[in-house]
Amino acid sequence: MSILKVRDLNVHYGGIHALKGVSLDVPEGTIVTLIGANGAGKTTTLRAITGLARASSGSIEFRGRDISSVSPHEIVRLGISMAAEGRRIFYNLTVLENLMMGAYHRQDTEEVKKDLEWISGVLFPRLRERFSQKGGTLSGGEQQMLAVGRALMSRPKLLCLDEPSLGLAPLLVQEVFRVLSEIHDEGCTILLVEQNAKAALKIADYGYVLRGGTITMHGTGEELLADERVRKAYLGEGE
Amino acid sequence: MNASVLFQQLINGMSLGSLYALLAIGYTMVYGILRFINFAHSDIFMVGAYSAFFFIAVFRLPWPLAAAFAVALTALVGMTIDRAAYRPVRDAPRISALITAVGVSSFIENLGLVTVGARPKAFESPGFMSQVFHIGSVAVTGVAVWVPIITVLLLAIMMYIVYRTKIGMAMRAVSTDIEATRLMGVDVDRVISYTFALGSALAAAGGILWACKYPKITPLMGVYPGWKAFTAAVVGGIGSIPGAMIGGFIIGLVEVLTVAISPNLSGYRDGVIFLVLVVFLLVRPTGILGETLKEKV
Ligand SMILES: Nc1ncnc2c1ncn2[C@@H]1O[C@H](COP(=O)(O)OP(=O)(O)O)[C@@H](O)[C@H]1O
Ligand SMILES: [Mg+2]
Repeated sequence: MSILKVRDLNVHYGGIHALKGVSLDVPEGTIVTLIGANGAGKTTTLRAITGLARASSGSIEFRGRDISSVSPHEIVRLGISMAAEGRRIFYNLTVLENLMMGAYHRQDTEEVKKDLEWISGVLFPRLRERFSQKGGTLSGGEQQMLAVGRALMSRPKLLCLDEPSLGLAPLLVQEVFRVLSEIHDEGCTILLVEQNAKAALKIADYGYVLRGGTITMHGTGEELLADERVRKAYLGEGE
Repeated sequence: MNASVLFQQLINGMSLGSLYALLAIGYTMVYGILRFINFAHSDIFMVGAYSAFFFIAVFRLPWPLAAAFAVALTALVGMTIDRAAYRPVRDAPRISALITAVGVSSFIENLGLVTVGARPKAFESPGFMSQVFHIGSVAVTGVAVWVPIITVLLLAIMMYIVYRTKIGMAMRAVSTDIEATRLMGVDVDRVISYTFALGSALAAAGGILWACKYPKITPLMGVYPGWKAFTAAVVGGIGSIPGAMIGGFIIGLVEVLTVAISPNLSGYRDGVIFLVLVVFLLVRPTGILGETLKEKV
């Protein structure tokens, strides 16, 4: 059962045709990754799914409902959240406030507390120690953890992540991917955009390769990892 | 100038500064979120004073009730202006919002001139405002004492809302990153609406207290206080709420002390304030508490 179905999605920025008929499926309970070079349209795809960019045609169906014209804040309430490209944390809010912003629309106070406990106690213990610090004072790695933690605070059914390992030291990259498997084990469905194709394909059940706004290849993580063309173009392996 | 005159002038400066502070907050809050100067804010100040005037003079409401109704009504007017004039140009370039604001301001002022007329109206202030206090050898009027006290109370309530409540947290989030706030499931338009309500309520309180201090009100009464409050917001660091408060008190004190120190400068009191603005823009364009902290990459 696909929780998210994107069909023939087109997005324009003025005269730029950024997505040219993208179709993809995210089955419930899986990790699906979207890889591709800079400018391929990965961020645009996530922005269309979360309502920040408008589709000029095509459909985006989430749990059986077309969300292509629903406003971003309603989409969050329906169960999609995103840790956006560039982290986008609120640097003038404290770490705790940043996390609480993630749960802004939730009414189930007790459950929010439990999630806060899980996210700041189990997943990212570093955040707990910095609760009262301003978000802007965190290191890059900590900001990324905060961005992922904040997105989880809405208790999403689908979590979208846009290059969560970008600019992180190798050890932190490992940590981020460890956390992603942990989140996945808790039953969260993940749509992961990465430039770190190798790590992403290893963890993913299924992958799509995006190039120039079009899906050029797709397959299970293992299939893509073994594919000659993927290895050359995205895994940095010469002939 | 002897010590008791100085003391008296300091109290006057604080009281004038309070009014600028109340008005400056609305400029800074809207700028912080939408990055434009809401020129109509000075007219909101006037609407506050006139609303109180009508609630008192026409409906004969008791003073506290009239003031409360006027503040609430003005908050609604502020929200309506945002809804009707600014929201439609939200995604347009900044300059469109700025021009819209100039238009709204001109519209409200002229609507005022047409409906209530240009002739000043005499504002009935409550008795406690005209009471005279004797502190040592110094006599000060009730207005000079009560205005700063009421202002500090209102500012404390405003700070509580902005820094301690959920909607306040959303206001601060919106002022950092509108799109990221949308991704938190927040209806940003609603948050902006509440921001206008809060800023307009404070401006209304400022307008009413101004009318107690200078009891002749006209549809253009907001123009000069508006420019000075805007100056206060810039001096304090536009976008910063504590900055707007500090800036308000500074401008009030500078204005009163300029006249006190050199009475023949009194004709230049407004000029001195704008000189402060120019100097600040040259020396420290971000103001006293302007944003210096940037996101880490
Ligand atoms: N706001 C924008 N305005 C104009 N063009 C844009 C905008 N955002 C992205 N693009 C263009 O759309 C294409 C896809 O960009 P993006 O989705 O950011 O790619 P990726 O995330 O894969 O690097 C690129 O050609 C980019 O230049
Ligand atoms: Mg991108």
